[in-house]
Amino acid sequence: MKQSKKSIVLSYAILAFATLIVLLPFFWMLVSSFKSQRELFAYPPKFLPSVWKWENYKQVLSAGSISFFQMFLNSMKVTLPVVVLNITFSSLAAYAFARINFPFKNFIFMMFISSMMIPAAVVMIPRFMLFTNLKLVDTYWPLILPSAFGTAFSIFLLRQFFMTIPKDLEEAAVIDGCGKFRIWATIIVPLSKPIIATLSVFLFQGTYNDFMGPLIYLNTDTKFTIQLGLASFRNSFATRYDLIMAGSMLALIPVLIIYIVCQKYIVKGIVMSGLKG
Amino acid sequence: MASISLKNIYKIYQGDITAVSDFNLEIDDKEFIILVGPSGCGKSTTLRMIAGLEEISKGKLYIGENLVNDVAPKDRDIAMVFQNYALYPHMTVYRNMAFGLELRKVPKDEIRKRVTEAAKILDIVHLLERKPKALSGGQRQRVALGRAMVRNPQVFLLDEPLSNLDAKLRTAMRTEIIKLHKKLETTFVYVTHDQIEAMTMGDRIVVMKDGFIQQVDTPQNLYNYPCNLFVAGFIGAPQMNFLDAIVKIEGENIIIKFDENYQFNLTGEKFEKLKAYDGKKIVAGIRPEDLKVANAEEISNYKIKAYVDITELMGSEIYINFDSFGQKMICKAPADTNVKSESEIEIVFDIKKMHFFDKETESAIH
Repeated sequence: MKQSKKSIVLSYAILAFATLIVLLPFFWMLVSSFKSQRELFAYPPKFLPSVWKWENYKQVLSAGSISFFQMFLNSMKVTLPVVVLNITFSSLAAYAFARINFPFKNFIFMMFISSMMIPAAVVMIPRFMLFTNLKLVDTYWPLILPSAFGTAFSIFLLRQFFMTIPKDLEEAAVIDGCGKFRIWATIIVPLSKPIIATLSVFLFQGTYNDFMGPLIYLNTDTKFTIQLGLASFRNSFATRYDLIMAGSMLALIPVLIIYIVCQKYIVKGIVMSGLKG
Repeated sequence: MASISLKNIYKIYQGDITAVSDFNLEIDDKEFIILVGPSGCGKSTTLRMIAGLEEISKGKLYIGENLVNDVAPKDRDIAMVFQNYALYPHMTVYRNMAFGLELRKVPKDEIRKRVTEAAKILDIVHLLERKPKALSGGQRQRVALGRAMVRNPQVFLLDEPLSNLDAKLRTAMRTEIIKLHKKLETTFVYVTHDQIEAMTMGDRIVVMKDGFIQQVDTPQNLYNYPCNLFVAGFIGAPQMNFLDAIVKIEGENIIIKFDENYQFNLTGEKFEKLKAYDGKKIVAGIRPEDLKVANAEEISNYKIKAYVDITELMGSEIYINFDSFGQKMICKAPADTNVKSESEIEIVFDIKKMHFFDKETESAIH
């Protein structure tokens, strides 16, 4: 159906307006990171800084007992193992749920899904007690292990995607000589790039942005992750919102890079999860 | 030796659903055998049991001399071509064809040689570096065949490989598969629901219905001597005309009565078996090509008046859909036959080509 020019213009106007609303906080954060403390709270507010203060970033990078780069490395020490291990083990579990018949399969899967409804606050204290008994507090293990062997969300998402892969492909692989594990590794995983990319972004974002976990388990400041480091700036620079903005911008960079790299897979993953293979 | 022997094979699913019942078949080495039947008749299930993709509930399956019930598919020395091709989308055509050989640790040189040879036979050498999504349906089908060929299997299993192709391509590929069978001299087990494919391709045809074998025979014998109503109706296009009738024996005369106005007096040894059906209902069958539009002067004892519903011109012939004594029939006539819709004509039966079936048991009365 041919849309009238009017309705096309109107649609674009609404979309542009909505985009502006969504992006506005981000742009405000960006321009604020180049402003002085005084300019941040000036009234009436000015969008662009009168003087671009690059030294905000220099200060953030060298402030505190631990460098920003060290905090970034600490975040990667937690995030990367979580992403890799979670996807590996979740996809193995998801393949079993999608394609292998075993006793109580449906019941076990239901239990997995039900566990998604348990709030994180409920397991916080028992988990802390467990890692205290295991003498793993003030290490990265409590931040890695709970997610490393798969999470209900990852298993669910992957299982749903695997179920869209035609069974014919697996049967052809069986006749070619593949066992279950080889089918998973050479057929299922390579075909699941979109969903793996999508999940990687979710996991990366969730782990990288996690504040509560590092707050509870990390005591030594040289082990702090970026989110914990940013929060400690709030204490050291109680009123320095300009530096907090600059620090937040720096913290955002890895997530942006991941998203830009994986963007086409994310869109494909969302589309393909609804279509027949 | 690549003969296949299926002895009393059953496939029973949970809930006592029997997909294949008491399937007995001996397939000779190098034979091209077709399993044909409507959807849900058990033909694909049977093929998958031969492949090892379905467990055999009861019975024994031999490939050559070996009992293979519990042998893994990869060890049965079979190759399969799937209805949807089942090409690995993330691999090139070359890798699709080489994958099975790689898993069997065949040396790279040997793999290259086999893949190239198969690609030359199938005329897909120029496609080896492409991925399946860049291929047409016919090309994908040839790659699927190539993937099966490189394995040099004892048995080729083909599960409706042409059903996703358009009519023209299907006709072309049919010929290619027949030529391939002659070239490779290997046993082919081919599943289809298309009786034209069955008739044109197989050495023998197994007609199946509801999990049971109806008849196993050569295409010509199935066509000329169907053993029951189902086979008679399934084989042949357009379908055989079926007419309800009652047998009347008057002395030496065998009469089949269609209604108050129409009855045929049958003479000859061919109809002797009908004497056992005096007073009983039967079904008379006549193929559309065994009916003829009568000339005005034609005299025949087997002539009926017909009211033409519609005509369908097929190019070289015309299908005349007509009504007579309350029964609908089709006559296949040469294209230049002068017949108009909603007109009255006369039709002559070639009585020697008539088939008769017991109405109760549906078996042929030979």
